[in-house]
Amino acid sequence: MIRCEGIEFGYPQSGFRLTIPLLVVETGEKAAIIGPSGSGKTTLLHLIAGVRTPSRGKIAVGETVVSELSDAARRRFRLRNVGFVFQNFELFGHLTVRENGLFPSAAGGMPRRDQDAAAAELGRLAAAVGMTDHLDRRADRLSRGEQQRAALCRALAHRPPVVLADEPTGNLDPGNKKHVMELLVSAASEREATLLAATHDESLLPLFDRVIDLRDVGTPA
Amino acid sequence: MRALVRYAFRSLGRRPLTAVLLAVSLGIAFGLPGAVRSVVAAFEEELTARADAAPLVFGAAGSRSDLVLHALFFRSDPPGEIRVADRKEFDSHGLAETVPLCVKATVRGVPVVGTDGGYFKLRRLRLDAGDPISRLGDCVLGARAAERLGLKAGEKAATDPENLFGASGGTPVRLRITGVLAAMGSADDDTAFVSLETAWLIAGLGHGHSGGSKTHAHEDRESTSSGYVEVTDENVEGFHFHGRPERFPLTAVIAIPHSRDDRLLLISRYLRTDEGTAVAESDRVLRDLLSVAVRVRRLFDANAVVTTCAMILLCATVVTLSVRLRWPEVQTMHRLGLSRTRIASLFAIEVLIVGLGAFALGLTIVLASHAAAPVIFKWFVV
Repeated sequence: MIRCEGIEFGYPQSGFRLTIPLLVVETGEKAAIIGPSGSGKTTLLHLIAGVRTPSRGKIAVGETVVSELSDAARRRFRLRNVGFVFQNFELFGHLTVRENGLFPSAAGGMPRRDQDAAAAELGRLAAAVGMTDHLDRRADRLSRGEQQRAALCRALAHRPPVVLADEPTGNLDPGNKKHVMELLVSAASEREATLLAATHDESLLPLFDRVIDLRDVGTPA
Repeated sequence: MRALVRYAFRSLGRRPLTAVLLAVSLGIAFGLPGAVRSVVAAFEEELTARADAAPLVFGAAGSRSDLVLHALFFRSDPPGEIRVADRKEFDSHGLAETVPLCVKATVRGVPVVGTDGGYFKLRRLRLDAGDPISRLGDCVLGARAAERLGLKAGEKAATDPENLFGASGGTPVRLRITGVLAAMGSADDDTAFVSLETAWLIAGLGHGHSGGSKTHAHEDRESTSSGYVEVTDENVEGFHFHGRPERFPLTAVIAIPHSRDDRLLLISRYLRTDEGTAVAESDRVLRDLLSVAVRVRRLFDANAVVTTCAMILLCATVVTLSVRLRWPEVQTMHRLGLSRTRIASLFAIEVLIVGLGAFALGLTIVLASHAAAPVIFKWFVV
């Protein structure tokens, strides 16, 4: 379960402020976050992942109060418990799909056992999203749709309990958008992961269990 | 850690040329000072060895440096000439073995050294091709002199019309090249060796009779039909020298004292220079000259330190710029949850790989130059 309570956050050099009195996402729930540009969707995902910390309030993921952890502990937490899918994919172009997929577990320094498990899971994910034949291709030689599927594999390979997706289909053509989002939702469902996806695209909302409109739960200034 | 090393290699692999250029630049910056030191050390070793084999040089009073450099390398003008009688007087003390030198002429710029068999023994010179000197007018060439002049055993070469140190000489003498010496990596490689008598003939102190005519070595070029004097098997008996042999010139005499005491005795005996002769200590003269080289080397070392510091600063700038260019990557790693240490390690390993490459190249340059220093010295310095 993700629980955000009494959250206040502002960027020091801008007037942006995000206030969330209470937001709860149940374990295994697939939730879409919507809201206009600048409403704080990305910021909220960063706060939950511990990339940023709120100036006030408490963010808990499961039993862990992320907002109270040190920077190093937040990084450890994120590495093991959060899978991130970015709007611009943010794959390492010089690495293969396989190397990208295993990057968090291998470069992050997870134990060998976990790395092996991630490698096996990556194989299953690649098969599920139709990327098996592309595992040994460099990421910068893939199409955009393939790149986002590779990014999806990276986010889920180490079986994180929470998957955060920041506009994951924002840079895809309409044909790919629905396909990729379906893959993301089904992959998260199969792994019983909690999915929180920021999106602009209302056509994708039926894929989710719940839609959270930041205008209802938060008050960006 | 293995994963980080693998990722670091993959990262470097996307811009291999940049990584290689950086490693090569650093490798050269690190290796070059060591390479120069090796060559300079070989240079010093060669000079010292040459001086050790010829510890004293007897000759005309004047600049001891000129006398030693002349006797060891045939390169500088001797302070003056001595006579054969002076050498006899020097020998009469019985304190040293001596080797006479008369260096007054050139063959197309190559110094012609008149000496006796003692010099070949002293320098352990051996023939690579042909035969030793057997009569007047014969010559053996050093390896590089033969290569430079394009001559081999059995061919002939005329001495230059001017003598070695500029003054007008006698009629050129056409020398018969009987042999070529094996390369020694020393000044001897750049030299033409003749007997003392041939050196005196070149200096115009002798003449020959062939048939009814007389051929003076000191005659003008125009006075001989071919423009030079040539000693042949047919006319060799007709050549002879005028004047008292004791008066014939030598430019230096290498002396090898029998003992340390004999050396000291000879030095003290020739401390006075008002008699026109002097003894110079080769090792001392060279040590003085090398002390200048040492100071130059220190300057070079200081320069190398500054250059290396500049290279390190330059590399730091390259790394900083590279990190800045790859900042989005760092941000992605941060968002994925990599610790600061792991991210820094990834970059540090890349720097380490380039640094190790540079170190390996630098070490290769140093070891290769150390191994090849005598060859480098032989072909480029001597």
